[in-house]
Amino acid sequence: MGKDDILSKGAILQRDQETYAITARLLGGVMDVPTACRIADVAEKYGVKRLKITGDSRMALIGIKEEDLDAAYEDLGIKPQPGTALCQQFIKACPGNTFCTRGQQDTLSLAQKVEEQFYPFPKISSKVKIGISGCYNSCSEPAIKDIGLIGLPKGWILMVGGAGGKDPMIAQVIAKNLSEDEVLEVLEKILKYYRASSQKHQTRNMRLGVILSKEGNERLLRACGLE
Amino acid sequence: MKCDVLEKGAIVQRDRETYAIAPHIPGGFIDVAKFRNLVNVAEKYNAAAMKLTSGQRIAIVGLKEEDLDAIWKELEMDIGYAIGLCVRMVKFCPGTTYCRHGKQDAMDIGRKLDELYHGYFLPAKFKIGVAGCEYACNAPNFKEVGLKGMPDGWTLTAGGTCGAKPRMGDLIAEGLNDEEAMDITGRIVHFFESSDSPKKVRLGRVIDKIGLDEFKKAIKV
Repeated sequence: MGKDDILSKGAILQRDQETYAITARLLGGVMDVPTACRIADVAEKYGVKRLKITGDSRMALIGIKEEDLDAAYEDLGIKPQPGTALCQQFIKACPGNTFCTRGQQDTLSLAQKVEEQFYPFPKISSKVKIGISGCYNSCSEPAIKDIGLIGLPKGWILMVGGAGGKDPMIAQVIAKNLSEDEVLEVLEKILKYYRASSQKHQTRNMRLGVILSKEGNERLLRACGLE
Repeated sequence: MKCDVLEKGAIVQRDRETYAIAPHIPGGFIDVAKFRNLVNVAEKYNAAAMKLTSGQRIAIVGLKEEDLDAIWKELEMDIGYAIGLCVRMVKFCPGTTYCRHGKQDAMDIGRKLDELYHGYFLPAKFKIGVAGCEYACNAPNFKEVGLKGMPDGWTLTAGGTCGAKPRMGDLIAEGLNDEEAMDITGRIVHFFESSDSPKKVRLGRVIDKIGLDEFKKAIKV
């Protein structure tokens, strides 16, 4: 039998049907220099063919042998996250007011809190992509994420139902001027709604935007207390 | 107060003191030796952080202005046009080179487009995305020119944006071979270049203004 993706190790089988790509999960795509150094060490040690910064600002290490996967993860100092390497779940963030002159909210802090409280997002059968931007310029593309956040001086804009891939959709704004705590509160409810919907017969395996276009927004808004 | 230094690809940071640079890494593909050198330079010049950007680059953050020239020399890499009114980047996926889903050679055409147009000055920022299959992992529908590799050739969309006013790209043509896709992309770039649209108005707004049919006529599709 031929090889396949190894979901439990977040390893993606490459076109050569022999080697794998793994991704180093970096909060908001930010790494300190020692972390970058560790990635370079691992890439050299395991004969990685190439590194790739992915469309969603993660670092993929391409061309790792199956027997080296565990050791490579160990040397990277990260645990493989089942299901998360296949572009199924992630949080993308811009530099926000930590680094960027335009940033109006702290995107990296919010990304960290979302990760700590909710990640990985269990039992949702479809993708969960979250985009967090510190200003209207939207460099983490919140308008094409299942859940998008834009930081403005008065607080966060929350949008839902975007997608950038096979069936592209632009997210719709459902709330404005949220504080960080309010964002986290509503986020929990959206994830709960998404989880429940993605287990229903009629809406299984559908992206949030497709579910909303089928069911309408009312249930979600009610569930979030945003009517 | 300090400002961006365009010709050094340097973006002033929030502290209004240090800079970030984002060297050119076509398609986000970087070989291990280059990456090692990048890390060494970041370490030597006390970078505050490295950030993987949405444009598939690696930004080195927190650099001193007086070190910028030395840093570029040691990096031996080109400037990434992360700022300014020009073709910002050509985003591409692993396509048929690495990915099992790939239907078209996204890396080849992505590299060629990158060589032709990266940094090319235009009335507004202009992004190109090339995805090798219908899963469209770099969201070509939301780029000024988006190419999606299907079994029968490239599907080309134009006028997408994903910023403050998101707009989905309009379908321009399907079933294109590599040369045709490159050719139409070129015509769109040159149409935009010679249009008298005001600065900072992106292609999608121009299409909205003149209408899709008129736009297609102008690029001879």
